[in-house]
Parts: sequence; C-alpha cells; structure tokens
Amino acid sequence: MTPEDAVGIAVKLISIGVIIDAAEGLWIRQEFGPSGLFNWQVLRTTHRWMSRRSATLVLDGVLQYPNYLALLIVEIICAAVLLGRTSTLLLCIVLAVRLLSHLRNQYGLDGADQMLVVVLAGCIGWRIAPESWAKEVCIWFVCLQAILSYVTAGTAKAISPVWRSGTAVRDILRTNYVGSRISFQWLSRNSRLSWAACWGTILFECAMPILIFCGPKLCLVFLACGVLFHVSIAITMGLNDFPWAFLATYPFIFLCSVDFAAAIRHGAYWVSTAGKTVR
Amino acid sequence: MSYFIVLFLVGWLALSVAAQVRGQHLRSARKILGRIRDYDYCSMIPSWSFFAPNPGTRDFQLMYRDKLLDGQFTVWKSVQCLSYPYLRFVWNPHKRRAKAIVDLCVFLMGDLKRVLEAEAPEKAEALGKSIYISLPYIGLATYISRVPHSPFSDFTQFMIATSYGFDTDKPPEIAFISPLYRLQELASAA
Repeated sequence: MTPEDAVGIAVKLISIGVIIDAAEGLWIRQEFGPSGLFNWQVLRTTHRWMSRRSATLVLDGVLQYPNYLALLIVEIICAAVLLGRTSTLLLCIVLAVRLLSHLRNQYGLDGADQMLVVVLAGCIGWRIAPESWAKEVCIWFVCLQAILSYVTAGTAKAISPVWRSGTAVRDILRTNYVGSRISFQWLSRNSRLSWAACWGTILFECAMPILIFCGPKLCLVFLACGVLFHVSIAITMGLNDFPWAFLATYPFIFLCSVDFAAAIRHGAYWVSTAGKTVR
Repeated sequence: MSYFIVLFLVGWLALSVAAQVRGQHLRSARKILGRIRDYDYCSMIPSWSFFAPNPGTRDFQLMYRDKLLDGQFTVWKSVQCLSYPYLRFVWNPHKRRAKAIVDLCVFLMGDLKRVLEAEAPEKAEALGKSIYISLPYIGLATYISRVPHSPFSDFTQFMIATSYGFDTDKPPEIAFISPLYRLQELASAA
C-alpha cells in the first residue's frame, strides 16, 4: 500500500462518515432552530467574544438557523464528490464546515467528531506538504493520534474498578441512550460474557501499540479486531459514526507499522554492517 | 510550508497527549492546559477516555410540568428521545440530540456538585446563583420552554431524574428540580 492509496482510502471512509453525519443533522433540522436543543441564540452565549457585534455579523450569517442547514448541504455535496476523486480544496471545505459545527454545537459532540477532524487535517497536510519528510509526519500524526485514543481509553478502563469487575459493559448497555434491552438482558443472564467483553476491550485497547510495532502481520490482526470492535459497537450501542472515523485511521496505522518494521530492519542491518567493519 | 505544517501537527499532538493526563498529577501543567482549552473553540483537543474510568450507567430523564392559571400543576411529562433500534448501526439521527441532553445534564450536575462541595457559605451562594446563568441551565430551560405546553399555563419548571434504563428493578431518583419560570419571559429573552 502506497501513501497515496492510504490517503485515498481514508478520504473515502471519512466522506461516508461525513455524509451520514450531515444527513442526520438535516433529518433533525428542527433541533438547530429556535425551538430546538441546538438553539443558536443560546449557543452563541458560550463564549463572550461570540456575542460581540463584529463576531455576530459573521457568525449569525453562517451559523444561524436556517443558514446552518445550507452548510450541512455543502458538506454533503463536497463529501459526495470526494467519494469519486480526492481534492484538497474540497477537503478544506469539509474541514472548515466541521470546525464551524464544533464551534456552534458546543455540546452533543463525541470522540468520532474529533477523530474525523484529525484525519481530515492529516489528509490535507499530506496533500499540501511539498516535501516527503513532512508528508511522512502527517501520516504519523494520524497514526499517533489513533494510538493515543486507544491507549488512553484502555488505561482509563484498566484503572477503573467498574471495568475491572466486568460489570461496565452490562451497565452501559442498560441505558436508553446507548444501550438496548436485548443486549442488556443477554449480558445480565451471562455475567461471564459481560466480564469477557470488559476485559476484551481493555486488552484490545491496551495491546494496540504492541501489535502495531511488532510488524505488519500483527498489525493486520489488530486492524481486523478493530473492525469487529467498531462494527459491534455500532450495532449494540448505535454509535454509527465511530466506525467511519476510526477505521479511516487504519490505512495510516498500517503504513506506520510497515515503516517501523523497515526502520528496525534497516537499523539491524546498519548495526551488523558496522560491527563487521569494526572487526 | 513543510515546517509550518509539521509544527502545527506536532503542537496539536503534544496538546492532545497532555490533555489525556487525569487525576492530581502535574497540577500546574493541567492549569496551563485548562487555559489553552479555554481558547479551543472548535474542540480540537480531544479527550479519548471513552466510557472510562466511570462510565455513564444511568439515563437522564428530562421532565417538565406547568403551573396553570388557577394555581394547579400539571403532571410531570417526559421529553422523549426517539430511536430506530434496528437501523441505528447505520442511521441514528437522534443520537446527537440524546447526547446533547446527557451533556447538558452532566454539566449541570457538575455545577451543582461544586456548590455542594464549596466550603464557605458565601462561595456556595455565589456558585448557586451562577448556575441559573450557566449554559447548561439556560440551554435546558430554553429547550423546555419551547416544547408543547398547556395553553392555560404561564409558568413551567423542569426536573432531571436519573434512572437505570432497562433495569427496572432499581427506582429512578430525582437529581434536580428547577424553580418555576415564566414561559413568555424566557421565550422573548432568547
């Protein structure tokens, strides 16, 4: 896989995620209006500078209802075009719309929204960076953010008594917000399954760096587990934006794994050659 | 150009790493990070501890009731969050709405906790008053004022109750009840 392929796959995955997310926004469009939860008249009070006259002129024009819906439509059109061909300008427009959405809707965001921004920034950086070493940094940036996300989540769970006791997954799934009656009842009857789900999540998330940096083959094992992990979360918890955002980092993770293995081989070769020369 | 891109991404990554530090360690560093976060208007610095260390295992039920013109109260009504249980792995538009309600309730509970933990009574009073001008309170109060109300009501109030979702063996608990507020006033203020 070349870096071009990796960026191309990542752009397609985030484009699908962006289209679904923006279409969902249009579906609940009343929530962005004056009678909704994301009422701009309330949200503009989040930061003092947003109520200043100069800022109001600009922000009201873009983020007020129903103008904000036009932004979502622009986002969908740009993402749909990106499914066919990668364009730096369209990526920049999608990133700008997402950042404006984050600025507007200060609550209701989740980790997938942030990961989409990370991947978009990495892809744009890769496309506009003139030198190869800078392109390499862009790829590593996305990979390291993904590693950070899994390891942070894994260690936070490993130090949590609720997760270690094996009841966390069952208790999360009992909520209406991200749970389901069937999953909750199933895990309530099978406490071993709940325990396995908790410890499986902890081990999967904590083991990520080991699997990635122990060669491309183990990395592929991790990526396969990751696909299963995110798809199962989407099915059981309804977090349908996570697979697109997190799976978009996988091409970058695989490239970094290959690069790292090559660097290790090169380092070993260099050490052995240097040793022979000294002898 | 290359240097600019690399500096930007490395700086972003460094802040992201620093933002994951939890607990009482590196208090001064966390203070600086908190100040930087104040300027992170677009939520670019991530928080990656999904559902950990203390996962949300309760539902927040947002309810409201009206005070009628004759002084009587209506029954508490629940604000429903729709969902498509069989499609939601691909299509879940109400997820963001549900997450917004959860976020607002969690922020409001955090503010209330700070009031209860304040040592000096004056500080507790000041913090208590500031709740009513905070974003979570105004957000929820405005939202509740726009849902359908009785035509014979001029005041309303909302309640946050916590429940154990599908686990119906455990009873729900009341977490917060707002004071009564006039419907027209809030609508015109917003």
